[in-house]
Amino acid sequence: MIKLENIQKVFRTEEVETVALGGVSLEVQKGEFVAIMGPSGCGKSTLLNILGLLDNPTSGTYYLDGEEVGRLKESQRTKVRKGQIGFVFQSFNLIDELNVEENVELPLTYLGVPKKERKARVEEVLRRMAISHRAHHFPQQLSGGQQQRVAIARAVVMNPKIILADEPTGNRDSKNGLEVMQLLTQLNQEGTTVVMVTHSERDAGYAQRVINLLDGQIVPEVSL
Amino acid sequence: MNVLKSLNQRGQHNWIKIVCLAVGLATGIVLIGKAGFEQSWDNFFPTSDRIYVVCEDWVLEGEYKHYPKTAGAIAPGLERYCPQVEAATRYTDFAWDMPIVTEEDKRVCTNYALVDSCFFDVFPFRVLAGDSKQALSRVDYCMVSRSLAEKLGGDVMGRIVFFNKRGGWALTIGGVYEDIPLNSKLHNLQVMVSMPTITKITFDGRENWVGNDRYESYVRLAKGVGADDLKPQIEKMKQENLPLEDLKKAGVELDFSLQPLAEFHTHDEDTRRMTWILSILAVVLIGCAVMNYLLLVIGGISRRAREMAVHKCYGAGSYHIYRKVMSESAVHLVLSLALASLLLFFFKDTIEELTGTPLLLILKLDSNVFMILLTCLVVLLITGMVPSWIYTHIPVAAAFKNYTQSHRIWKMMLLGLQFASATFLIVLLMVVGRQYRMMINDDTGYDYSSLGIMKVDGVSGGQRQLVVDELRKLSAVKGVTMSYANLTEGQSGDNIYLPEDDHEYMNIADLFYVGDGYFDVLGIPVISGQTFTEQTDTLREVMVSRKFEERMRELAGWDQAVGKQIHCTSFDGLYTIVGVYENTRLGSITHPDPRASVCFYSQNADYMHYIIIRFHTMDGLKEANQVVKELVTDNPDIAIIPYNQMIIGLYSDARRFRITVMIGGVVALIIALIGLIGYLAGEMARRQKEIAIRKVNGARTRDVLYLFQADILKVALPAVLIGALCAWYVARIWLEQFSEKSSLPPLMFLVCVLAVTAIILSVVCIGCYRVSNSNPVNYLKNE
Repeated sequence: MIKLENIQKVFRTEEVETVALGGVSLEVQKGEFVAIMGPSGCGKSTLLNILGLLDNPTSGTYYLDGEEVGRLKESQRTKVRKGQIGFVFQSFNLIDELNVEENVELPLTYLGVPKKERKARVEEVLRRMAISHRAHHFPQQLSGGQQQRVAIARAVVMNPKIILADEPTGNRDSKNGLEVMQLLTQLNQEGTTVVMVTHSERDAGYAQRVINLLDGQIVPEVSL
Repeated sequence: MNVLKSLNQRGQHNWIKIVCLAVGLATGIVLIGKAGFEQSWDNFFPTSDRIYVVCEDWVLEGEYKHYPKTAGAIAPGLERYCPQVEAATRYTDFAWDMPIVTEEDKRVCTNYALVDSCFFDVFPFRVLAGDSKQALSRVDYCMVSRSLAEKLGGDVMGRIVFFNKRGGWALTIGGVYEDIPLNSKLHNLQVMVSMPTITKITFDGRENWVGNDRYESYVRLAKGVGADDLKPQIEKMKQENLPLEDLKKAGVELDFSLQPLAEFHTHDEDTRRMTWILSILAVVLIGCAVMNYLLLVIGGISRRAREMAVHKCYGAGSYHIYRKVMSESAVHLVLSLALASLLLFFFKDTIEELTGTPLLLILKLDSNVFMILLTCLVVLLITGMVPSWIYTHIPVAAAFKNYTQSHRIWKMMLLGLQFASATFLIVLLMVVGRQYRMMINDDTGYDYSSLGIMKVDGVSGGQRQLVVDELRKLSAVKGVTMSYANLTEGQSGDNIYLPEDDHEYMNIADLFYVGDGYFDVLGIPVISGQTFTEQTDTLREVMVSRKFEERMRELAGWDQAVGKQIHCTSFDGLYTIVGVYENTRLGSITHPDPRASVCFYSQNADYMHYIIIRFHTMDGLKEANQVVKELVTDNPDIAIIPYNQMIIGLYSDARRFRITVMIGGVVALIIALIGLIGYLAGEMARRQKEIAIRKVNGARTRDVLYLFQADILKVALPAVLIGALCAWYVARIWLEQFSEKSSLPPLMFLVCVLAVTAIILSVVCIGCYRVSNSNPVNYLKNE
């Protein structure tokens, strides 16, 4: 489903050139649950951004479902991303001015899903995430765990093929973290491909495969 | 719904944006409206493109003069000679702000003109009652405007009204016409007295081909005919009717030209200049508000960029971002317009006083509606498109990575433009204020510091003399005199000839008659010869101005004026010059009458229009007015007013412009300072860690303040200099309308530049003080 070949990402400023990814090649199969681990600054988030089509690599090729997507313009990336990829961020990135229901509904709005269907799908996913009772609350009125569940609900409401999670339990206590990981595992078991960036060995334990990054390079893969 | 929710979004300062935009739009809309109103004159009726003002073009001693009035016979002459003329008419004003009085003694001050019966053939104004042809053909008949008819009691047809006072000259109302709109050259026609009545009022010059050129003449041309097509017929009319040989001998060439009525006001140099300046002010003020809006948008961009990135992550494309931001901007604009409407409503009276035009009339004009809508559209496009463009160009990944790009150059540019705008208006205000002060303290050539003046039209000669005699008895009164002319108005013209010489030497301003002690009371110095003394009205004596003497030195080779004889066209026979008086200002600085002047003596109070009183101090005015009230019981409108008040009234346009610029300047400065505060708040948030580290390493509060002041100064100083330079340029254009201009001293500009800079730096100090003075640990902890 995902195939990266010799992906490089270099950030240049006037004075400094930083190599964030130095020739990364990897494959993720459909329905796989992959964890990306490594120390701070090793390029995990950069890799996730490229996988999520939020950024283009400086060089190398990226195939998504067999299509080269590494050189797309922003507008083309948006098209490919739409409905295919769901994001779960460490800091949730919920929109403060929208309530829970509206935050979750957001991707469906951009997909042009009719209002009635949107409502039904949002209700269903909120029920699944056990936060229906908070549907009309605003993010500031929720606990951290609830916010993360909303963020996951938003990521899955459009039934994406891939979920990209960036430190999904980073801001959680162990109980909430466990809940999040169980949700991601459940989604994966239902057929969604999950790629997760984490620092946590415990969270990585939920993945079928761990990719270790160091200084922008993949270190030997460990099969679990 | 979400758009409305976003109004209270933290860090976006949406209400500040809306309020600033509302203030900018309110002032801008008024200025645009006023400029549009000035450009709408006389182009609103169906045949306006075919109506022309007949003008005289004189060449005298090689000097060309264009005069928009003619002698009485010209308009009917054009109709006779030119088959292309469908209709022609003429009118002449004869009384301004004079009461019209009903039999029930209801008094309304109004303007009077003698109008011929063809008026409504040329102008398609609606006649609401009566037959205009008949009413304007019968002696002592008149027509009145609808609003005047309403003030007089409504049903006025056939009623008798009196000129100035009940029981005086009676007129029968024979018709009512729809009010002539304010944006028309003919607006002042409120009482149209039939032209044949002229014999009862003034010299009958209806058949004059040359001289007594007091008639406003108009023609309506056939479709497809241009003004130039009439030239051969006009030439023929001149050859057959004008004393061309005599004129040639007198050194005069006279021709006639037609000026489109629709261009008469709009193409006037003063109108164009004012329209241009008002438009600049409008652009500056609206621009200031828009720049402030963008500045606040950019200030809150890091937070907003993250939100937009979330939208993009979940499928929002550029179109969605544009649509979202544009709809927010549209809501902001709608709310701003609503607030602007409230401001206009609450300050309606002030606005109408400043513009001299009803607000509703300004806003209702089609051209203004279009301009205002266009302005709103441009504002919407800028306030919507620019932020949208910025948001769509921030990479999603960068937005999530704690996007802290400062956009400092953009912010500085916007701030700079705002500073320049505010400085522009403040410097302009200084120039306008300086010119205004100069005008109201103008050296007119006479002393009006403790002078009072009273218009005595409608008061009998006997009463006038009685008032003069009684006022002279008051201890508060130093002297009293009478005059035919008011020096602050334009004067009638007369031509000067010398004995046994048919050469016309010059056209002068004829002050006609003055009474005893005129020069003493007004404080006009007599520089050679003597003043009039009693009994000299039988001695055929005249006094002339210094300019008269100087001109005659050039034209006739005189060594001195005293003792010379002249013939003045309004007076039969020769008069001997007995004295020369110092030049005085005739008219105003805005509309000066630059001609030399002459005056004659008369004891006859019937010839006079004004009584002029010199007080010891103006405290005596009340007592003097009490005397007038007791003596002139049949005319309650008669009163002495301070001469100074009349001078101030001459410059009401400049006063209004000064207040307009002042409001604009204050608004622009406040908006700019709000923008600055917003910018500083953003910079404080962005640089709080830097400030904290600096403080930990020994920086004092003043060092931190200096850091920000130096930063702002880099943009503020060039901006205020540019603003001052632009103000200097516009001020020069504005000053062109005055015959006497105040100087533009560099020191004034320097003071303004320094003052604006000082205000800016003070705001920087206040805005940065809290963060600069706080414990750095707080900010490092946050990091």
